[in-house]
Formats: sequence, structure tokens, C-alpha cells
Amino acid sequence: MRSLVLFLIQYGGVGLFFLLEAICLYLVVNYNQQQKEIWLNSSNIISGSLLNFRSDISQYYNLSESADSLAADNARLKARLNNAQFVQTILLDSVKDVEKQQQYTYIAARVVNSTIHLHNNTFTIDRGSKHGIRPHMGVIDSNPGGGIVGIVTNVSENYSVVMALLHQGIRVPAAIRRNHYHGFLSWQPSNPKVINFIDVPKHAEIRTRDTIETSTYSALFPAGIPVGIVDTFWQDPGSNFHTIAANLINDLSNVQYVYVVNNLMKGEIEKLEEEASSE
Amino acid sequence: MNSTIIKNSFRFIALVLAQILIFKGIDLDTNGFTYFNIFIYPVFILLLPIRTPTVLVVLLGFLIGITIDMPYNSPGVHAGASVFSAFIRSAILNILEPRGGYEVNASPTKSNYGINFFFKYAASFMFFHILVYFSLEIFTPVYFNEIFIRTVFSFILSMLFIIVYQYLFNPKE
Repeated sequence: MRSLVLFLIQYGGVGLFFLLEAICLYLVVNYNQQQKEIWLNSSNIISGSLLNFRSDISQYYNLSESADSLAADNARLKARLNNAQFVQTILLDSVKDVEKQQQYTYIAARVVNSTIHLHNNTFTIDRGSKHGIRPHMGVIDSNPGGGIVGIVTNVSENYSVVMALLHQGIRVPAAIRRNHYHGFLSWQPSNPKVINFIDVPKHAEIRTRDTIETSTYSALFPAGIPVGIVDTFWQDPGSNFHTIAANLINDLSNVQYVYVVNNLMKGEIEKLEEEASSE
Repeated sequence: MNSTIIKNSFRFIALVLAQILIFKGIDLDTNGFTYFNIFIYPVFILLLPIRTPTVLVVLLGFLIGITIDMPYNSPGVHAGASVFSAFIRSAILNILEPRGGYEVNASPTKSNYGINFFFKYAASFMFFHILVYFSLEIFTPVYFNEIFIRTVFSFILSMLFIIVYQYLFNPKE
């Protein structure tokens, strides 16, 4: 007991000092008008900025979630655009009945893996058969300027592999926006930013900076999506066609979100064409 | 020992009365800006015997501070400053300790250790006391200039009165 008292006398000063200062601070803040206001204001500022900081962090962690929901929203809105509709307009004498039917729907997906420097490049996306993806669906970029990404080749339950535009097997119908001459997009393994536009008839007039867009001939992509800008063009000797080198609208090396295009009428077209060719 | 307690109790009462009745009324107030306050009551803590345990010094500092706070209507402000200066008192005494050490039961007064020692001791003590006082009164670093100006003015005037007090009464303990 005696040693405890001695200990307190020896070292209790620090503890008592902090205790009494805390009491004084409490008195100052609670019973002095000016100090009270300053205290309340400062603590409001501090707690306010702490709360802001916290919500900033939680927003950051929710970013991917909100990006996903925005992408899904975009897919819904894209499906309502004009080029996703099949126009069932019937022109009969004086009766003009404009009717539209849904032709394209979109499935938003995120790129989880991609190659860009191989000869045959592919993307892997995180949507699969469970989400309604089938092989031979077109894939377009979420880039607002347009751009296509490739064609679905393999589908598993949750994931799909997309043959990229930068794949030697790619062959996508496209057209020049200004005069609607058709050709095909293909790719030679050289530059991941340049694509070839081949089989354009010799008589077609082409200018540099013409826009190449997806054409109505393609059952995989809605018409009118810009794909590239004409850079140079030439004629191989003895050929009846132009070969065009075009700069891609989108940069395929940083694609994050894509939309898989579902053409609701593709089966009908294919069935009809099959019937016609077998006759 | 008993005479020390009686003398310090008497000093406590006398200094509180002097502070409240005389020095509370003296201040230079222009356009609502008070340039100085004169602090005489910390002399009580200043002159406590050197071997007083820190616990007791801090406790007595709180006691005199809160006593002064009542008439000043500023609960906690004087007390906070007094507790702080009482706490650092032993550190200041350690730094200023003369070569032979302090005598048992001696008080740090002019008559015991000379005016040179007393001035350094009182000046360091009072500077911190006044700085903490104005920090607590103004309570925001926004008005740092005001805290500084008022600390300097109050420090000079308070020191003047404290030195005068030493020459006037020349206390031994």
C-alpha cells in the first residue's frame, strides 16, 4: 500500500496531468460560448471530411458494379436504336403503316483476356451460353465512336472466345459510307491498328479519309457502325479490285467492355438462303 | 513543514484576491481587441517548494486555475493553462538546476538562488502558461497572430509584476 502511494507520488504526475487537462478541455468546450462554437464547427468539418473520404472509398470499390449496370443499360438502349429494328413498313396505296420489329439485341460483356500481337488474335469475354451467347454472333466495341471487335467462335457456360478483327480468318462484309460500295474486312498480321478492306470493285471512287462502316449484307452486325478510316489504297497488278488499308476507329489493345450482337432474324435469313442454294 | 503549508495557503488566498480585485480590471481594450491580461496568480505555483511532488503541483495548479476561472467566467481556460505550466515546472527546474543541486525544502525564490536564476525560471514558466492560456481562450490556430501578440504583451507586463513582487516581499519559501 505504502509503495503504491510512493509510486503514485513519483509517477502519477503524468497521468494526473492528462486527466486534469482533459477535464479542463471538457469545461472549456462545454461552458464557453465561443470555444464551444469553434469546437462544434471544427469537429463537424473533420467528421464531414472523414465521411466524404469513406464514401469516396466505397464508391471506388463499387465502380465495377456500377460500370456493369451502366453497360447493361447501354445494351438495352442500343437495342432500341433504329439500326436494331427491322422495319416492317408496308406501302399500300394511301395507307402508310410504319411498323418496327426488334431485330438486334445486345448483351453487355467484359473482356477478361485478350491477345493483340499474335497472328490470330482472340478475346475472352465473361458471358457465355448461360447469358444467351451462341457461336457466330458479332461483337462490337462499347466505344461511343463505334468499332467492331470480332465474332464469337467458342462458347462455354460462362465465357466465350471471340475471334478478333485482328485474326487471319476474319472476313466481315463492310461498305464505304459515302457511296455504299461493298467489300470485306480482313487482316494481315502486321499492325494491330490497321485493317485491310478488300474486294472493292475497281470502278469505285475512293478517297482517303472515307469512313468504312458495317454493311447491311452482314447478318452479324447492325448496319452503319463505323469501323475504319481509309488511309491508303492501291490496285494489285492484274486485279479487278481495290485493296484499302484503313485505320481502325477503335483501339483493340485497350477494349474493356463489349456488346455481343444477337440478330433475332439470323436463323430466318440463313434458312432461306440455304433453301435457295439447294434448289 | 507546517509553516510552509500555512504560508502557501496564505499566498494562495492573497494572490487569488489580488488577481480578481486588482488585475482583472487592468487591461487595454481598443475596438474590442484586448492587448494584454496581467497574470499574477501563477506565482503561487511558481513558488511552491522545489521538492513538491509533481502530482501535488499539478493538483494545486488545477485548484488555483479553477478558482480564478469562476470570477473570470471562463471555466477550464485558466485551469488548463495552470495544469500545463504546473506539469512542466519540474522540467524547467531540472534544466535550471544549479551545480550544487537544490537544497531540501527550499523554494525557487530570488532570495534563495538570485535574480538571474529566478528571472530565467519565471520567464520560461510564464511564457508557457500565457501561451497555453491564450491558445485555450482563442481556441483556433486561425488567429495565430492574435495569440502571439497577446502572449508577448501579457508576458512582458506579467513578468514586470512578478519581479516587482519578488523585490517587494522577497519571500524565502
